Amino acid sequence: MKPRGLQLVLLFGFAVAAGDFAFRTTHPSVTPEYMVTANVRPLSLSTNSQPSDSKHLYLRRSWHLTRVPEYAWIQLLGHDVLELQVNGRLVGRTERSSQRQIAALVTDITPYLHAGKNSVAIHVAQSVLDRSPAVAIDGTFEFADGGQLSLADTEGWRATDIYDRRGAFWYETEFDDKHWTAPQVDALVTWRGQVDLPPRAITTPRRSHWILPAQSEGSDAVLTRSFEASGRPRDGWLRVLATGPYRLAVNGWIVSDDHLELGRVDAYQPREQTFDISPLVRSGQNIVSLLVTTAGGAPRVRADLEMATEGGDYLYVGTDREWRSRTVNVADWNRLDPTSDSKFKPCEVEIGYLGVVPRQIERELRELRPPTSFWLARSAAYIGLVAICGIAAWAGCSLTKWLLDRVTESQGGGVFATLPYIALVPSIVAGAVAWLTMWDRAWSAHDIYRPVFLYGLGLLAVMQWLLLVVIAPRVRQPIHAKPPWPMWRQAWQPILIGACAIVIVGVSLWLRVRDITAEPIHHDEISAYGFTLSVLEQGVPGGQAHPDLPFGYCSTSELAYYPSALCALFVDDPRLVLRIPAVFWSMATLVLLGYMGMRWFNPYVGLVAAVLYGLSPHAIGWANLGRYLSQVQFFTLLTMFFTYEAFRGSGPIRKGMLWGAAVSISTMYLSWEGSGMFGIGLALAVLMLRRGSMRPVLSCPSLYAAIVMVLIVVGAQNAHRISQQTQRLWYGEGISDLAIKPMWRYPFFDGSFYLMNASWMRDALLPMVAFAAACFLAVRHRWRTQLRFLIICLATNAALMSAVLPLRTNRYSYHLLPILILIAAAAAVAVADVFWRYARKAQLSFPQRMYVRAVAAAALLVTIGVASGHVVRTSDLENFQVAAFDVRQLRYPHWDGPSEYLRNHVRDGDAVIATFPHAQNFYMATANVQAARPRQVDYWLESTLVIQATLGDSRAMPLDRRSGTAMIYDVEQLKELFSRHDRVWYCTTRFGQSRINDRSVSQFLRENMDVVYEDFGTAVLLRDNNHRTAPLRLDEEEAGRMASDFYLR
Amino acid sequence: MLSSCVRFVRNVPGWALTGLSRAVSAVVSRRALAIGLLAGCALLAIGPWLRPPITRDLRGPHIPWGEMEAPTFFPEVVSQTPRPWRWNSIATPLLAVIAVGVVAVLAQPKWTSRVFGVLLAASLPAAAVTLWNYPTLVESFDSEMRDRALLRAVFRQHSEHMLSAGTSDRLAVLSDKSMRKDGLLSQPHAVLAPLRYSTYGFWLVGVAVAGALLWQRGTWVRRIGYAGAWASVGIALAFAATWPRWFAEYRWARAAALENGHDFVAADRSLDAATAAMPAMGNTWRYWLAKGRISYRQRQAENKYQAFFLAHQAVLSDELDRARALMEPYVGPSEGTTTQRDLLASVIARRAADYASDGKYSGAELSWGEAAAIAPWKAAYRIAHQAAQLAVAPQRAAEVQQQALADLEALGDRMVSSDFHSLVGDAYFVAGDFGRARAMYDRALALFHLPKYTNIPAQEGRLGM
Repeated sequence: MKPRGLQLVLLFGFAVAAGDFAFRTTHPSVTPEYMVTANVRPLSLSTNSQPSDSKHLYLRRSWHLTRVPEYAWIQLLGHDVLELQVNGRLVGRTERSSQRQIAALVTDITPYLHAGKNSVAIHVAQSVLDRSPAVAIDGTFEFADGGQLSLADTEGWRATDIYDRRGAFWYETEFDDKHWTAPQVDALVTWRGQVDLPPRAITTPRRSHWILPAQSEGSDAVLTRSFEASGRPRDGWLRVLATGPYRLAVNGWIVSDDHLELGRVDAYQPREQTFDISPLVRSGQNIVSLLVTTAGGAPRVRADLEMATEGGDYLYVGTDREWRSRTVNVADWNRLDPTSDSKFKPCEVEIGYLGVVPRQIERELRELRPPTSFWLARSAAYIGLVAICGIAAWAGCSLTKWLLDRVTESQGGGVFATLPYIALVPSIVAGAVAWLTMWDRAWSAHDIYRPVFLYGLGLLAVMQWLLLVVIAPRVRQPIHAKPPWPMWRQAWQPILIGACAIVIVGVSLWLRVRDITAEPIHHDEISAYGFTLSVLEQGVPGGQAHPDLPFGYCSTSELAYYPSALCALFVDDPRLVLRIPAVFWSMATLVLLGYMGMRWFNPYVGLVAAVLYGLSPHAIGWANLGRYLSQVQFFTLLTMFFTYEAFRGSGPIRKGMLWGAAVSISTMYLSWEGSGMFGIGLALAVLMLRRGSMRPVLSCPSLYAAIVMVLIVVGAQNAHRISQQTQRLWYGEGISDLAIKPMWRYPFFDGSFYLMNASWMRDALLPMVAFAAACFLAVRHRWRTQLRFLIICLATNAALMSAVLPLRTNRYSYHLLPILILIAAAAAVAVADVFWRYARKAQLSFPQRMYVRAVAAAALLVTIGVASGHVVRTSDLENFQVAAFDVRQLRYPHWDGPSEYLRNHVRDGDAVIATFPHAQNFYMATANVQAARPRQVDYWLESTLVIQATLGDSRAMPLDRRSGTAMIYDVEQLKELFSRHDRVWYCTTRFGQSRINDRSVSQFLRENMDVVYEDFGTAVLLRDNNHRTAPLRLDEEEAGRMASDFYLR
Repeated sequence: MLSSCVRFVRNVPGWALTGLSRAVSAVVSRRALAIGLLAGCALLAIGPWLRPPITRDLRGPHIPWGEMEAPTFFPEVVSQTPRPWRWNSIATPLLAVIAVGVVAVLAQPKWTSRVFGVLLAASLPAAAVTLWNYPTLVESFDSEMRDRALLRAVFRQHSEHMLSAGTSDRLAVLSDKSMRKDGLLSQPHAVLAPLRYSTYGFWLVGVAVAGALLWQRGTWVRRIGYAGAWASVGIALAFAATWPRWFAEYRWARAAALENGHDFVAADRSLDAATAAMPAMGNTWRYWLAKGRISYRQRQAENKYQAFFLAHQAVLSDELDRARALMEPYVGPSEGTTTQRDLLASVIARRAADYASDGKYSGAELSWGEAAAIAPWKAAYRIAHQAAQLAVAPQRAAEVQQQALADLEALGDRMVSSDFHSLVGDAYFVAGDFGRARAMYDRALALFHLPKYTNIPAQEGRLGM
């Protein structure tokens, strides 16, 4: 990039970064975002400081209230998912929090409470490894006489780890929790969680009074209040309760209308509406106006407003005599100042509820709906601040350049024209990181956009300008002066790069091995393990799931089971047998990726790519799962490498590389046939690479031989697959029937799905930005040949899959992940290289050169850190969220615990039903290796045909094709089964059950079974021989209570 | 002679190889890539530009350039299929530019960047006209969105596994909130609302920008400047082509500000000025509601606008009978505007959905029939009517199938279409006509059956489950 272009880009970047920062600091967002911080002693099920194994924590507490609270709120802080129920009604639920985040919930529960027995029930679910569920509770019930009851008291709470039911469900008020234990009170910790509403708007009790206009003429009235705010406001909220539809204006901006409420004939139901007015309040005089319309009678209003300043002070304003009013049509009511307009009269204050009982008030958070002019004003402010920052930066840079010229006596020779602009880079990076951090739920905008940081952003540039002046040489150095350490590059650079590579490989390996057995075997891994054993027994993967089903050879991912078979010769644990090869392929991919980066671009690209891949939470997650994906990914990358190496340049093809590519692509295809589409992109990339010099390519006989070989492999595999799949009839539609379709004709077509899902972390924004940058670089950068090759391979495959694959699954683009990483690494290094080259070419002194390089290296390191997926989780950027694995995330249903529970409690004569029978059978068999015939699941429950069923050879009965277990396909069969067996067990997934069963089946199970064990995503239900249905139990309890009134009291 | 022949034969493979390599190289040459990109642009130009929630997509050749007032492009006409391709459509100039561009690229490759520049300048006004010159059409899409929610309720009554019962609509904007009354009104601003129905029109703009950037030689500043210049021309043309809309929107914003400031007379005048600038705005719900609200705020005697507004408010509070009573004086067999008929039909349709959810299928059938009669251009009501007929009398399957053929042709939503075929299949099944039932299930499966998006009703129907 030319110096002038670099200056413009940096100036523009700084203007946007600093201007955006300044705008967000001075103009709060209209979207509420607050942090709740507390020093808490959380409740959990841990014992003696040992974390509990339970993945669920159920808490409940009951109170007998003689009167209903006027005001009640509750605040929960915990991990990882919180669910709150009050008196059996769901009040709130949080999204799943990531490893660094704490979930928070603050809500008003007054309308849910009543006189008599009340209960608060909380479910906390674990979704991150080694972080047992825990929750801290705070809250208050406030009564009419001012008395308070605190919910923060840890006494009285009862806890368990299963979805319990004793007649009533665990969350219902009537539930008897005497058999539950007291939860453990953990050590004091400081937790912060984000909520999407001003928490003090919930926790601050109403201190306002009902007011009405002084003149009760007509049914329209403007009620307004002017107040002074000292200090710079940080945020503010307003709660309004009115007896008719109203419009609200704050400082002249009308931010809510009454369009939906007008013209109704039914009585107006007052609702307390909360507004986050942070973007509207200002220091000095503020005016709040309400125009209320009623169907008849004088309008009445009750409002509470609170404003917080940057200094941490709070200003409270409630409706009282200070408010003023005017009645009848008041033109421009939103702009009138009650203090200067004599027509405004003081409002009258009324006492009492005025028919609006506090405990019955519904509350809601209202979104601000400012007029277009408000947005125009904000846009103008934004543009203005960007322009100011740009001008300030330009002035600073010009001044610094002038000083540098003076100091070094270069007299405006243009030597230092660009150097001052380099000082803007740290501020640009800081501004960008701040913007990204804003989307992380671990931080709120209030934490990031503070004046002190804004000053820091500016100061950062100023300090560097001063530094540049200080380190500037007093005498101009001769052109092309030799660096002080001429031998550095030759001697130390390879050693340093090698050391870095060793560290990267070591850390990556540790990250992949650390949690290799943290999760139990996945139900698909069980099938894979079966194929692995069959490789050892008969040389090819295949098997017979049940004597009533024919023997079948594996017809997909055939080569995926040979590495695991090899591993099985050395280790016995099925998880290790399957996952060690996955780790191996993942590490091999890392090494190959690093090598490709170094060979195709430069050593830094290789290192950056290796770091991104090594730290990638998604790659780590798949390396700990024994399926075909890591293997396919390696061979995809290898194929691309061999192909590029075979065809690069304009001379003859390198035959060794060509045959390597042919073997590699065949292996890739036999590891997963879906990767075959990669070949199309690869061919296109080769055509682009060799356009203009095709003759040596087409005249090479080896090329045709290699193509024929690959086609034979593809054709043979296809023939084998079809022969295996037509061996028996399968009922239903499954992934194995996948056939290409024109998906752009379907409603949910998303052309960029697979490109986005090639992201190496859950947040795809940065990967997509890097991809876009690489597309620009591919036009005329010196790396354009390699970049074009990579981009065509990636984009063609991703677009083809989006266009014709009738299934959208994140894992299908996993083999493209390293390609995107390589592209991103090249783009990042190319940007840093601009500075590097500038430092080399410009006639700078050694300290100046070191400064430029330090800035570039620091910016690159920060970018890598942010893009690693470990530092920032931009979970609020919903459009760029993909289903990649998160850091140490629990990933799939855990069947080990349920199977062990079942094994320990099942008796002869019991019936066992399961949704994944092969998983239960596997666990039963592995635990009872000595048993001649281990206990097996009796029935597979699927009343809607989502997973394919098949027919047995000897019985005309639908069977589960994975295990041969008999299928129960409707509720009548289920009822008959329940009538034949005293005890029935059901192993199921907590939510997936409803996907393969209809409502009548789910309802029957719910009514007739109880949860006896729960794990992550799974549960064991039991209908015992002493079981009575829930309605029956309730009836009996009622009858028992009545009997106790008359008999044996 | 012989030696010449031998030499010739010996040279043939070499010539063939040279020819082949040149041919292959030509396929990926800059010129061929430009031609390929222009072919892609042509596909986009005749591809879908607007996607209604239920009915078929509107393609480039369906959308006229400047028929803001022409009755041939009112929603009630547009909903009919097959739609004619128009000479005065937005696709015509685009295709002309592409055709001339192909010749230019072949003849003079250095003109390629200009071809893409002109295409960029032409595609921007085409996209702007599509989005902003037909406000009634966009409102009819909003109305289809509400109808889709009703259809979902209708199909859900039949089976919980119906495709359209459990999934979002084909624009993926409907969710469980779709049946919320306030959700129906919490629309984006009228200027932004068309964007949710936009499909491939902006892709054409993107491809043209990419073409201009790639084929312009020089530095990035030069390339961006070049593309920016053509984009500026395009934006100016787009502004000119949609000028009445922007003037009308300005008057509208003014009317809203005046209404907020309690100057209702001036607000009313400003609304009239908006419709004078763009008369098509006078046929929108938005206009009728604003007009009626201002009339209501002024406590004027009831008029057709106020009745429209009050009926709409009554729908929000589920007072469907009151809403119907308010609208009926203004809507008759041949009376009432499209807007009024649309509202009344939607009121009756909501009542029909209520009947269906209460299991009163005869009442539902009657109401759906009424709604379909009042708004005959809305395929959703006819489909719902026919579904209700099948629920009441499965033996009428053949008759209903015959009636529904045209409506099914008009449907763009595969899920609704597939569900309806399953319903007819079920009716045949109940009536014992298994051959026809199987044919309907097959058709339903052909329309929609994907792994993980299984068409359970049709699949189970075909298996006789």
